[in-house]
Amino acid sequence: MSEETRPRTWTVAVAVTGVIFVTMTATALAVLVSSPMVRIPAGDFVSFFREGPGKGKAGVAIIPQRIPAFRLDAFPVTNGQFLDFVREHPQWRRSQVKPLFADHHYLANWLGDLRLSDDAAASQPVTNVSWFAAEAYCEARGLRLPTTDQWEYALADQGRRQNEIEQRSLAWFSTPNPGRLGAVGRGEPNGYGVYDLVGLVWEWTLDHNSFMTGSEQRNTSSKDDAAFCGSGSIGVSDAANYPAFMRYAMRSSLKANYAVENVGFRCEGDE
Amino acid sequence: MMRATAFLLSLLIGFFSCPAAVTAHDDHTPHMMKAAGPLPGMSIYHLTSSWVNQDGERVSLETLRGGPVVVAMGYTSCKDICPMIVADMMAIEDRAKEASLPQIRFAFFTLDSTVDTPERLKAYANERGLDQADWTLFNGDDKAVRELAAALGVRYRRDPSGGFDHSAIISILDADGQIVAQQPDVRANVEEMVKKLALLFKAPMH
Repeated sequence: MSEETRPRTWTVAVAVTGVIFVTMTATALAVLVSSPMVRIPAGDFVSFFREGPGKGKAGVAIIPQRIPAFRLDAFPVTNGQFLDFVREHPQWRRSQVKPLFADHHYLANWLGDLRLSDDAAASQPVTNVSWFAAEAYCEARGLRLPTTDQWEYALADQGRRQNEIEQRSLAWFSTPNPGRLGAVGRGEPNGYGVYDLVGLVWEWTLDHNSFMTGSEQRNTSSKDDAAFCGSGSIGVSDAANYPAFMRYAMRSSLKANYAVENVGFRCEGDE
Repeated sequence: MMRATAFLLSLLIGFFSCPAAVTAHDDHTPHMMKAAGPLPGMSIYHLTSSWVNQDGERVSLETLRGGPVVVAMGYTSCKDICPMIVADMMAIEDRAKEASLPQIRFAFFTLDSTVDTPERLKAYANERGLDQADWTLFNGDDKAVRELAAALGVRYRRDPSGGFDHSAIISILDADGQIVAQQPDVRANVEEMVKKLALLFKAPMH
C-alpha cells in the first residue's frame, strides 16, 4: 500500500461508517416517527355482544361474522408521534382545540402545546386524547380508528393464549395507575405481531359508544327502555368473560370529547 | 378493581363538570339575524362535515346557525320508536306555533345514508306532512353521521337485519349550535321542550 492510497482508504472507511451510522439512525427514527403496521388476516369472529336477527327472536343460532383483512398499528400511538401531528395541525394543540372536540383534560400531562413532560414521554403512549382527536390523527395518516369488532378480533388472536390475556387483563385492572406509563412495545407481541393491547392503556375505537349496556339495552323493564330504539336483539356470548365486560363498559362510558388519562389509541387501515 | 373504580369515578366527575352551556340571547328574533362572530367552543357547528338536504342541496351544519333548532337522528324505514321521534318533534312545532314563538327550525339527520337518499327524505317529508319551511332532512356520509352522533351523544349501531339500534334523543340547539336541552326519552315532554325554546327567545309563554 503506497503512501498515496492510505488516506483514501481511510476516507472510504469513514464514509462507509458514516453511511451505516446514518442508516441506523434513520431506521431508529423511522420506527419512532412512522408507525409499523401489521396485517391482520381475514377470519370469523363472534362479538362479545352477539346480535340476533330481530326483536323477539332471541335464541336463534349465532353466525360468526366475517372480518375482512386489515392493517393495524403494531403499537399504540406515542406522545412523540402525537406531538408531530399537533405541530402540523395547530387546531389540535392544547390551547386551540375546541371544547366540542376535547375537554379540558386534553393532553393534560404535557407541559405545553408543543412540550412533552420529558424525553421519555416521547416513546410512551399518548393519553388524555379525545375520540375526535384520535380520529383526526388517524385521518391525517390516511387511516381510521379500528372498529370495536376489529380491535377485539385482533385481541382474540385466533384463540392463541386467551387464558393468559384474560389473566393479564385481570391483573392490570387490579393494579393502581402507575405514576407513568411504560414505553410502547416493551412486552411481547401477540400472534399477529400486535403489542400492548392489554396492560398499558385502554384504547378508543371508531364505534366505541355503539354498544348499549345496562339500562340502555332495550327490552329491559326500566323506564330508560324508551330512550333507545332497537330493532335487533343483543346478548353476550360469554357471560363469564369479565375482562370483556370491562372493555365494553369502559368504552361505552366514554363521551367523544372526553380526554382521559388511561385512554390512548392506535390506527387501522385497509389491507 | 382499583384501576377500574378510579377510572369510572373520574368519568363520573368528568360528566358532572361538563354542563351543557346555556346562553342567553338579548335578540328577540335571532333566527332573523345574520349569524356573526366566532362560534362558541361547544357549538356543534364546528363540525365541518358536508350534508345533502331533501332538496338535493349540499349544505353544512352551519346553515342552521342563527336561530333555535330542534334536532334528532334516526332513519325513515324504522318501524319501531323512530316515527315517534318525528311525531314528538311535530308536536313541539305545533305547540310552539300555538304559543306564537318565532320560527323554530327542525332538523332530522338520517343514520342510514344508503337507503335514506335525499329523494327518499323528500318523499318521507311529504308523507309525514312536514312543513318544509321549518324542516330540513339531512343525508351525510358515514363520517359525517358518526361525528354528529358523537357530538349529540347519540349511540347507534347497524343490526343484522339492516336496521339500526340507536338512542332516541331530541336536542335543542341555541342560535349558535350549543346544546341547551336534551330529551333522552321518546315520551318527550313537549311542554317542557317548548318552554326551553321560549327561553331562547326570552319570550314568555302564552
